[in-house]
Amino acid sequence: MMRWASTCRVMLVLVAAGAPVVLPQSPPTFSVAVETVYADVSVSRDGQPVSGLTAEAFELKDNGVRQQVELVDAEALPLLAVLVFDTSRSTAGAKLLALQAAGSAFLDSLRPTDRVSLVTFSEEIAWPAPPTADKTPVRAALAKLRTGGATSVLDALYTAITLSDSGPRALVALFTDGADNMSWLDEEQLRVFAPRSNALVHVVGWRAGIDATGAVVRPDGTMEPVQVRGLRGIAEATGGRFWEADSPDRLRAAFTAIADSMGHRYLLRYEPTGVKRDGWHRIEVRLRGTKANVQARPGYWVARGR
Amino acid sequence: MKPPRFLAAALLAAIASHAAAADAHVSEYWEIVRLYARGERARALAQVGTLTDANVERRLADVRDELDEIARCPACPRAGRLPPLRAAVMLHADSDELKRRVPSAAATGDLTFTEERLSCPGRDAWIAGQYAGLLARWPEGRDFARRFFLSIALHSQQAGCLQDALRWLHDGLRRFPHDADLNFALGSVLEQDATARPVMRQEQAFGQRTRAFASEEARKQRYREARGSFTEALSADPGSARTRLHLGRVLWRMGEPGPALEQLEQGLMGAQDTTLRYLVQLFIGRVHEDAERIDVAVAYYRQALELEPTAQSATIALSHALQLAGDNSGARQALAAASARSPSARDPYWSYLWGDVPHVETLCNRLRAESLE
Repeated sequence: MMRWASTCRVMLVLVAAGAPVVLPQSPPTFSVAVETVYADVSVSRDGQPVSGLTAEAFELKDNGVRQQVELVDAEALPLLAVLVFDTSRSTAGAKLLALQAAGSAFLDSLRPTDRVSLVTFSEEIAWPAPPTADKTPVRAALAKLRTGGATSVLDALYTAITLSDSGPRALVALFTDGADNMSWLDEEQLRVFAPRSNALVHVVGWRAGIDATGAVVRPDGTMEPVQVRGLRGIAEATGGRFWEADSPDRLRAAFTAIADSMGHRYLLRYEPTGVKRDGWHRIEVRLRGTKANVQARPGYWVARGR
Repeated sequence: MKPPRFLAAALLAAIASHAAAADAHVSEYWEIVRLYARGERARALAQVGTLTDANVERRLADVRDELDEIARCPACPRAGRLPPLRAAVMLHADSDELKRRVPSAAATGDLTFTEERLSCPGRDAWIAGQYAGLLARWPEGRDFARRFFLSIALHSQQAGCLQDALRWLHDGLRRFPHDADLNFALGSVLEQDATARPVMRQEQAFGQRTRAFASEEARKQRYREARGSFTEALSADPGSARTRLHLGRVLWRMGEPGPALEQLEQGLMGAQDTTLRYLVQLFIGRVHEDAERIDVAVAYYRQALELEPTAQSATIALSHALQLAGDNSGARQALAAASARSPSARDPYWSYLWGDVPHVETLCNRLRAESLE
């Protein structure tokens, strides 16, 4: 039976000046027309995106309170995509070539107006290509990639999410083949931080032992490596996904699919009413009268005093 | 019936020949060691590889027997001087290091601190350790032996061979139980091992929880052992800021923030060099951050960055803390400012878990110098 995932990726955009109204006897709430929330949602059925839905098809709740939503043209909001590539010693050789090809395929799948950036990491994080709509310098940076050193995947992911968080729509697509052995931040910190940002995070992990359907064949049939679980949890907490690749073709396919998926999302907009302002907002999205998989991040965070 | 004379003569000749061959092996071996002791290191290393394992082990047994004899009767006249044991230690240690270098084409993963891949210490290291153990029996050889055990353990740690490192350290501590350096090194390896172990997650499937629980218990046990080793090291050297730094971090990881801060703050007072002060500031900041004293954490992270302006870990720590404080713009600016700087020097935090890197090379070079005659 099809499961109804009801998580939601949200962007919080402050669109008007003026402090929110604060009722003296109750927690501060959003005031109408002061702040707007964008929910970036994907809908699929049998692995294929579902198109043609209207705002009326969606039912959205913010901390359990139903909200009035409208559909926004995703083309109207620019995307910033940040590629985060592991260039530690273990990615040398054929793996690097496959990664460069996958990166190039990702660039090919973006729209002309989409901006893209490249972050690389071993133990040291580098930013060889700042955000640009011109894909040429990013391609050039991809071609110059060199490998060596240890792995700071968590610090790199934090960096990419933070640097991408200034825009309304942010995608972080990270590739790694190994366990983190150098980062300052730990997994728990990223699990708390990532869903509070605007970024949609996808992680592509290079792993052996994948069967024809793409399912992972684990030696003991049960336990997933700890590092994979951690990165999967971080990605899913933002409404993204963990992809596994064990060949250049699968690697390329994963990055192409990630880029393609951004063109099939619905942007729901609403002005929160009837909910406490500060803190975590749990978002639930479902479809009315239609069966499909709905996927997005589980909520968003409003810092105290913003 | 008497055996024929020719058979007796043949037997005597065989015995004499065997004895001569054995003497040749003995002299061959010690000539190579003396080559090393004279500073002809490359030649000695080339030649020691031609010796059979049996020859080498026999020479070791000979020395052990001779030293046992001396121990039984210190006043008895001896036929000659003791062989150059320090040179024997370093000859085999250097030979082992040469054999451990893995061709880059065979290198996989990036689990070691060094760029060059090294396999774990092998047979020659064991031989070196045996000679060091013999040296440790004598007052004039004890400090050399102590420093050898420390150096081979640190080399093992940096090659990612933590179990070997632990064995070397336990071997050394058997002979020098209260030594500050050996206890510190043991604590460091235990801390590294504990940090690398996976942390159990509550949401794991039921079938996985038993294994995860066992792994978590092993991790906690390592931290407890590390605490013990660092405490022992401090009792021998109470002024060691470096030991307080590591003990403080271990206590923080064990969920004891109060005692952790106490050690770290004492470490900060005693820390002289920039690297140590940087690390202490970083860890103090983290303890405050975990306790949700974010403003205090930000202040410590800023101080750490002032000491090491290009250090990535302090930059990330500061940025993340600013995020927690609700200053998203400041968090981005901290990262953007770092990326605009020229390529960073190595962040001291990156080598924190891997032992004292500059120290081990200095240590080895001194041992080599002292093995010369």
